[in-house]
Order: sequence, then structure tokens, then C-alpha cells
Amino acid sequence: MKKNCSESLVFSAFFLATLLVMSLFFAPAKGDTVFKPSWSSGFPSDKPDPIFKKKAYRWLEADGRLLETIFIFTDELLKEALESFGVQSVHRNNTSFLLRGGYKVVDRRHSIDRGSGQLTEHIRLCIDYNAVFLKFKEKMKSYAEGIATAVSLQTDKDPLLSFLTFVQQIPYRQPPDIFHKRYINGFFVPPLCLSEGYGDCDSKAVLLADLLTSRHQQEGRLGLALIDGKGVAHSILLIQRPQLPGMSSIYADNYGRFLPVETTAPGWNPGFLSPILVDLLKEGQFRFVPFE
Amino acid sequence: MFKTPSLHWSSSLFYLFLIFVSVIVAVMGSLVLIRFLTRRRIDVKEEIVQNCNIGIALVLASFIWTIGLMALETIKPIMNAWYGFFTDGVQLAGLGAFIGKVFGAMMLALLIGAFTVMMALKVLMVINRDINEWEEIKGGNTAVAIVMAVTVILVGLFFQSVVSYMVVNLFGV
Repeated sequence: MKKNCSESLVFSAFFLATLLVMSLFFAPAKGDTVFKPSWSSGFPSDKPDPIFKKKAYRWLEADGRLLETIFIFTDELLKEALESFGVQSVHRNNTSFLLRGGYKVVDRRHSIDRGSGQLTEHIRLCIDYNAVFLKFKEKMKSYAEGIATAVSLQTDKDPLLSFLTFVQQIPYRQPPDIFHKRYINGFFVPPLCLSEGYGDCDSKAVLLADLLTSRHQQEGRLGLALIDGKGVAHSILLIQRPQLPGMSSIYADNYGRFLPVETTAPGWNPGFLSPILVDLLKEGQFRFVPFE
Repeated sequence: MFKTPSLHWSSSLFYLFLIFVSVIVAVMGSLVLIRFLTRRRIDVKEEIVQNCNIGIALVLASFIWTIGLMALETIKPIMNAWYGFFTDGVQLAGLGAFIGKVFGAMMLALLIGAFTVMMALKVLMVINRDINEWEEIKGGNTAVAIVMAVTVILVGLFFQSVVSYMVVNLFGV
């Protein structure tokens, strides 16, 4: 009886100690980003969202420096960004409009109704990320130069880490499905992602791809991994760089080996991802989109 | 980062060091844990080497597997933090604090691994109150050892990802 009591006491003490240690490490993440756009973050619901023409960014560089830069967006660029992707909201369910609005067919199946014998075609559409990347890679040059100047980046130095640090600190928020009466399906093209000051995983990944390409002669290809499985839908950028010890990588036939890059949260270096995403990549539950 | 030669070779050495430390933590931790759980009634070396007790070997192996898995789960978050701290090459300043965090991460893995093992065994013992599992294993009952080992391994697999997330938080990602 006494032995059972002492054993239970030891076990309970060990359990409580472990809980205490675990609670310390599950504290809220330290160091919230200091990424603060210069305007109010609230949008009145009964007024159309204004398109911003000037935006100041402040972010924390990897070496601890607080950096600041101002981006200017011309009317022409913002108009082009708005009209280059998406469709008028009334046409959101029209396949032919969507195909002209920056979507592409990724899956096509047919089914026959047993009763009427009618043949039905089922088309699955996806955003044509490569087309968006190609369209804006030259137009993002001045913004890439602005970031490089703020960081004091040398011309021959790989801008990946600096640009990644900047993009990771852009607030993560899902863009709306309807933006300025256009159906954009929750995706901001790079100029809009910068001008609005927020974006989700695919918006930020394409933004980073365009910044890298416009500033730096590519050492290798870029791509996108569209992860979809086990309740997780996520996009990560893929870059071709030497794989250092501990880094994860993906091999794509005809394209080579890529390192995954997480753009949605600060602190993830190239080649490192959340364990859930690593498992999904290992299981092949993703679609590879090359940028070419 | 990718064009810093000193970071390449130092990262390789550090990575090998982490794997080596994970193995040490797993083996030593398992031996200490068995002695603690059995109140030193079972001498693991004697049972395995002299008595060729397969049951003890199976249970020890499951402990090593579980704790080792926890320790290996810390390696990726540690390497992520390594590259973050030493992007432009390894500097002495800050290295001490970093090593301290690595040590903390390994201890965390050992703690969670030990807790996982103890919890698994406690559940088993609560279900089978009329059986003294350690005495059975010491007596050569391999079947009981297999049940214990599989239970420990299964619970360890469930808790495997917890270690990774906690180490990520430890390094402030």
C-alpha cells in the first residue's frame, strides 16, 4: 500500500513538473513583428476599399536592425494589377471568363448520368500562378531595389534571406474573394499584396518569387508547391539552392531539387517547414507548379 | 548563407554532433529510466548479457526508440535556429546561449520521452492490476515484454510531434 502511494506520488510529481515545463514553452510567441503599415488597419464595411498609392513599411531584419522603406504605387500599376487577374464578380461562376481571368484547367473529367444518358464535363480550375509570376516579375524591380537599399544589400549578394525576412513579416491575412467588384478568389497579385500590406500563403509566395527574380539573376529555378491533404491547404515557394545539413528538399522530375521556403510566418529559414507540412510533402500530397 | 564556406562545414559537424547526442540521450536515458521504474530490482546489463533475457532487451529497445525519436525530432528546429543565428558564419558571441538552448532542447526531449514511457506503462499497469509486469519480464515472459514494448512505442509515436513544436517555441520561431 505504502509502495503504491509513493509510486503514485512520484508519478504525480513528475507529471506536474512536466506540465509546468510544457506550459513555459507554450507561452505566446515572443517578439511580435513590428511590421506596421502607415495607415489604419480598419476598413469601413459600407465604403469601397481605397487603393493606396503610397505605403511605408517597417520590419525587423535578421540581424536585429529595424528597417523602413516607402513604396509608391502608380495608378497604372494598381489598375493593371487589379485588371490582370480575376473577373467581374457577376461572372465568378463562368468558366470561360475565369479562363480569361487568370485561371487554368488542372483536371477535366466526364461523367454520364445513368438515367438520362447525359454526358457532363467536370472541370477543375486553378489560379495560373506562373502567368501571374511572369507578368509582374519586371514590374516588381523597383520594389525589390527599395528593399535591397533599405537592407544595404550588396549587388552580388543573394537577396533570398533579406527578401524572405521582409515577406515573412507582411501580416498574414486571407484576401477577400471580392475586391473592388472583382472576383479574385482570395489571391492578391504581387503589387496588390504590397499595396494592401497583407496576404495569404500563395500571395506572399508569388510576391517573394517576383522580388527575387526582378532583383537578382536567378541561380536556379523557382516554383510553387500547392499542398493539399489531411485538412491542410497551403502554398510554399520552392527555390533551387544548395541543400545544407538538416534542410528538407523536394525533387521534381525534369527540374531538379528544390528547397521549400515558408513565407507566412517569421523565423523559418529556407529548407525548414512545420512538421505537418514536411510530412505532407514526404507523402507527395502536393502539386508542383514551376515558374518558367 | 549558401555561399559561406565556414557555415557549410560547421553545419555538417554540428548536425553530426546533434545526431550523436540524440543517441547518447536515448541510450543513457533509457537505462536510467528502467532502473528508476524497477527500483533497481532489475540489473539490465546482467539480464541482457548474462541471462540473455529477450524480454528486457525488447523493453529497453522500445525505451531507446521512443526517447531517441523525441531527441531526433529536435534536430530540425535546432538546425533552423542555427542557420538563423549564424547566417554570415559562426561567431563566438551568442554561441554560448545557443548551446544552452540546444542542451535545453535535448533535456526537453528526454523529459517528454520519459513522461511518454512512464504514462504508457502506467496505463498498462492500471489495466492489468493483477500482473507484476517487471517480475514477469525478469522471469523470462517475453509475451508481456512484447505488449509493453509495443504500447510504449505507440504512445511515443503519438507524442513525437509535440517535441518538435515545443523546441520551435523554445527557439522563438
